[in-house]
Amino acid sequence: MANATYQREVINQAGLDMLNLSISQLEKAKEAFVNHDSDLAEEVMNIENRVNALDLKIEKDCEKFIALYNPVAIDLRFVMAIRKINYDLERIADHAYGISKYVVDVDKKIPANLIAAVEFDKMFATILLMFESITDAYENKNVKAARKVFKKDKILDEINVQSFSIIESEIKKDTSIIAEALLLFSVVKKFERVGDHIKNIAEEIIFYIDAEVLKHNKKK
Amino acid sequence: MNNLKKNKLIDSAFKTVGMLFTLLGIIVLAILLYNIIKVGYTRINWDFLTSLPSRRASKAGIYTAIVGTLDLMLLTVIFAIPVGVGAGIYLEEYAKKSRFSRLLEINIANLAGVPSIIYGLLGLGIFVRFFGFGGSILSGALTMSLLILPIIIVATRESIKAVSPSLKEASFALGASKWQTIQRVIIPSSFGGILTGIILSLSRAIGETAPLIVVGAMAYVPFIPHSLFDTFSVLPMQIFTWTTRPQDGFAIAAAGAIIILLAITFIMNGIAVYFRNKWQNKLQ
Amino acid sequence: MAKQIAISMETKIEEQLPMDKIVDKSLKKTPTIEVNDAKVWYGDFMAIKGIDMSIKRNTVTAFIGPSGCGKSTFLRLFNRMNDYVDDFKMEGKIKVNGRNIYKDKVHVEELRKEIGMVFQKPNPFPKSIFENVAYGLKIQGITDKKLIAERVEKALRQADLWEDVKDNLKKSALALSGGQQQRLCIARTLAVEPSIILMDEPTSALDPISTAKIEELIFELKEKYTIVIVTHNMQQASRISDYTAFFYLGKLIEYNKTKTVFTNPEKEQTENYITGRFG
Repeated sequence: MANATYQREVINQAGLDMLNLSISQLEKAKEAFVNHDSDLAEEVMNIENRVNALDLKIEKDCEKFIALYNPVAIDLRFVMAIRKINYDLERIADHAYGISKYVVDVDKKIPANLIAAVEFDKMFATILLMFESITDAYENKNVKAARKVFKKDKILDEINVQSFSIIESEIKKDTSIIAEALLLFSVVKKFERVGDHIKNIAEEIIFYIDAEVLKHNKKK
Repeated sequence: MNNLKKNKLIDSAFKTVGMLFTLLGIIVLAILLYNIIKVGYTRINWDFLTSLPSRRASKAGIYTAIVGTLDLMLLTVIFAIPVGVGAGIYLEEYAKKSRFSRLLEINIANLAGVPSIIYGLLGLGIFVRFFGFGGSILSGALTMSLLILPIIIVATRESIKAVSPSLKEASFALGASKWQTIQRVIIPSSFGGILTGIILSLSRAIGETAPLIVVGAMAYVPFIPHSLFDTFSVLPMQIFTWTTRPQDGFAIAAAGAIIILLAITFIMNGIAVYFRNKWQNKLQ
Repeated sequence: MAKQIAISMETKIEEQLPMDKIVDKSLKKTPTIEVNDAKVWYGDFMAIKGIDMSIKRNTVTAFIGPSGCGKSTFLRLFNRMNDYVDDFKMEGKIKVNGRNIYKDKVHVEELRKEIGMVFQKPNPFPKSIFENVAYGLKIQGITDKKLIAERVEKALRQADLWEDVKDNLKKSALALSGGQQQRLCIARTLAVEPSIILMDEPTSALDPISTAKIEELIFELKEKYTIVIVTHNMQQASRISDYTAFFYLGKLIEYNKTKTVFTNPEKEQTENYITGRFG
């Protein structure tokens, strides 16, 4: 059915745009945070409008698609999954916005040793790998790639749990860096959230392609 | 006995009785044909077909009668078809549906059942006397036309009615006028039915004797009619005349003529059935 | 001698190129079909109770509504097919491409060259495939065999039927399947090169696959033609139309973009109908 297929492709493309946009927002936000680049941070905050607009468009398009084309089976699962994926991507972009706001609001550069101590780079590198996996899964309908993120998410959880005691001890060593340490702690938490969102996206992709519901499934 | 058994018995009883009745009809026809053929087939030869009637049984032939029959049929066709088909098309397609038109429809159907001798009297009065055509082939043909006209009109109307109205709609929707629709869609579709009607009415006409006697077909016409105004004879007339003669030879000749007449009738009906089937298949 | 040839050529061209094909630039902006306060009676029964509507060029408009609501009657006003029904009477103005079509000066045959119609049950003539498609051209008096063959091929291609039948144009149209017959009827209409195509429940007698093929065809035809389709299948209306008109008991309840009608209709009655709460 030409029209329905075309409309579905429009939504699919919009989803991909949202994915790329969220990834780029987060990358810029991390850059801005580590280098205390307030110009870059401003840029991220401005682009937030685009993210919101795209979010609304995808919502509307999904509603229209269901109303007009009565999707069933994989088409229905697709449109249901896209709405949830969209939500998670919007939250990720939101976190990027939040991180950028820290840079703009608090004029303090985070010391490099702190960043190294909490394995910040490793955390972000893992996030990037997870993004790669779900992009592959989304574009190529590759369920295997989607499954890779669950293990990786455990790394993020690990780093997050460790960060508490690490930050605590760093503060004890040098109380002048309390503000920076607290900011860093917040961002680490945000990254852990981002990981959860990516995991949700992976679950939704697996649901839409394989009709396998992994939500609330302990064994992944 | 119970209902089931009773029903089964009635079922097979009906089947048997029906079969018997059918066989009865076929057997009677078979006996008739057998007798006729036994008596008459010896008589049939080329001379028989090409000789003029004569007072001598052995010399008598049915040439005049055959020519008369064929000429009569031809003329009847020329008069009856345009008028009958034209009237049928007009009544079905153009005439407004009103009480008057319904009355007309019923009466035309009734006319088809009027005894043929009445038509003979009508023909006598109008064509023979009033127009002064005399007891000629022209009068005969016009009379027969009147006889079969109602049949052709009814057959035409029924065939046109059988054309699906959706075809008419399609034609109009493409911008065709009423006449174009009739000419290009309705007539081609109803053609088979109309043709069947024409052939069947002709095969009825071919066997009519009474009206032709009244109009003036002669029993003894020892020459070939050359003009429309000549007297004429037809096969049924010839048969009738010969059977009234005492000589055995004429009885045999009559039998021979009957065989020819039957043959012509069967062939015409066969053609009608052929065309009807062809038409049915085309529309499927 | 040359003058005579020129005159006869001119007549030939005029015969074959209906005047309305020369579309005015200003005409492009006017709506293709414009209805003002249309009312229809069959004897004493008022079938259409005063409807206004404006249909834009190159759109697909769907008429929906319960049985007997007047949508087919309303559709048939556009090509004056109601004229053949006894006791038909209409009031109001209906303009097609700027011309009021119920004025006496308009020839119905001319009108139907601009507006084609496809019916619910496929109704090909019991003729060959070629003759079916050529019918509309031949009744206009076109005799140029080459031109006819070209137009027949073009129409069959537009109706997505050419590949199926190109080697069998002399075959009887009745030998085609239901879906193919309906596409043949569409080709037959397209051959006349109308600007508007009316469809009265064109797929209700067809199986789902044939229906899908024809819906795709309608989507393709939208580029060149204005299409109005009556359907009792709401999902079909939502799938293929740009605008939807909801009729009920002879009145136009709502006429809106399809997107709006199916996500957030203005009238409660519309919503009740499409959600299946009545009708």
